[in-house]
Amino acid sequence: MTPILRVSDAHFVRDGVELIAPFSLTLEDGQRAALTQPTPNAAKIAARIAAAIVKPTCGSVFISDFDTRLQPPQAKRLVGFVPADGFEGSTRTFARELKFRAQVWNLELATLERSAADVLAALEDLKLEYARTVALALAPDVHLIVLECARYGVVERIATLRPNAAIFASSATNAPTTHPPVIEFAVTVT
Amino acid sequence: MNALRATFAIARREMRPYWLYSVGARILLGAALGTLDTFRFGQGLIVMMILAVPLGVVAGLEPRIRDLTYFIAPLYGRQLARAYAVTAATAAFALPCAFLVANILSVRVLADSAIYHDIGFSWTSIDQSRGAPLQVPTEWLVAGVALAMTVASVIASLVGLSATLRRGLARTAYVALACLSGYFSFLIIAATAFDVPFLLGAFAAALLLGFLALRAFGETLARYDPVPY
Repeated sequence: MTPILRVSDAHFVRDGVELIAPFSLTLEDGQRAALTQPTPNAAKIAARIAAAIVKPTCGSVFISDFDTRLQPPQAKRLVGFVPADGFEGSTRTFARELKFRAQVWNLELATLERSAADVLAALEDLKLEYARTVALALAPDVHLIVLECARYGVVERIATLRPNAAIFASSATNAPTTHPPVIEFAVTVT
Repeated sequence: MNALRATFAIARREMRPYWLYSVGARILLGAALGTLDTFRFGQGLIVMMILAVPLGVVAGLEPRIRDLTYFIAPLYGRQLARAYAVTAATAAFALPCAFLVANILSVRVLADSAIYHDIGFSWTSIDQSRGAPLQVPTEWLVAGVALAMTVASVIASLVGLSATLRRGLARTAYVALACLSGYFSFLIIAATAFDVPFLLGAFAAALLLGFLALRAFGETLARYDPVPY
């Protein structure tokens, strides 16, 4: 079976400064992994590399059989990306965002709305802005969920909601101590 | 079909209130200049000729290119580029088109105005061998200039799109390049205005410039990494 995420010696350099040291990992359906970075920016970049949003300077990233450098749209279709920032906007804006995603992802709006409503109901104790961000990411049928600067306890909640999906979370070591990244290391990250 | 649906969804998302205000302001300005030109030839036209290209470049700078939502979406760079182009070109169209429509309508309303029709402008055909000098009615001249400026401002907006992903000097250089492309497109159209084959060639050259700018922007978007600073 093809792993859902294969990262081989991916690292990221900007203006001659290595922001992400080389890392490798393999994730299969239902597995979880976390990557801790020294700064929030580095954590964001690591998550975006795993979600096919940013291309690594060196190394390769495959999501299922798709090389994120060559086939990013195909790879992104399998990923639910949860950005660090919450969704800022009213209920109407959220509904518009769902409609927009239904059009761009070419999905049925009713299915997407039902799925998002289920996620929101399951995460009702979370801050609404962040719950909406998670709902937008999880609304399409995704196989890999990537969390950028994961918030406390969210990974476990998502794992309960989508037990078959692989989860990759990044976090920063200098994150506030009130929100420690408590994430199970199911897979060894080298 | 999916690509088209996604393209229009992005374009519609980008046509947010700020964009509507911006287009509204362009339409008002264009209408005012078009009406002004009816009373005194050149007064509105020259201002429109000066402003259309820079405002076209501004239209190219308006889309929220760095919005992470677009990079999360399963889209190719070219699809994103097309959507931004639709938004930018629509805004760029507004000023010259509003000018033209206002001018035509106000000339119709003031049809008996001797001031407007007795300006006495005439042009001699570039090709003298064709015979008598070619008399160009003022309305045609204004309409022709407005159409040429429409093309020029759209080209400027398409080249200007590439400035959105740059910073500092590169951004300034792209803005300057966009202005130059716009005025260049206008000049080649104006210079060949009286010779249909050359005029078609000039339009083709301007469109090619816009196409190449859009393609380059698509490539840049495909290579762009939304990295936090």
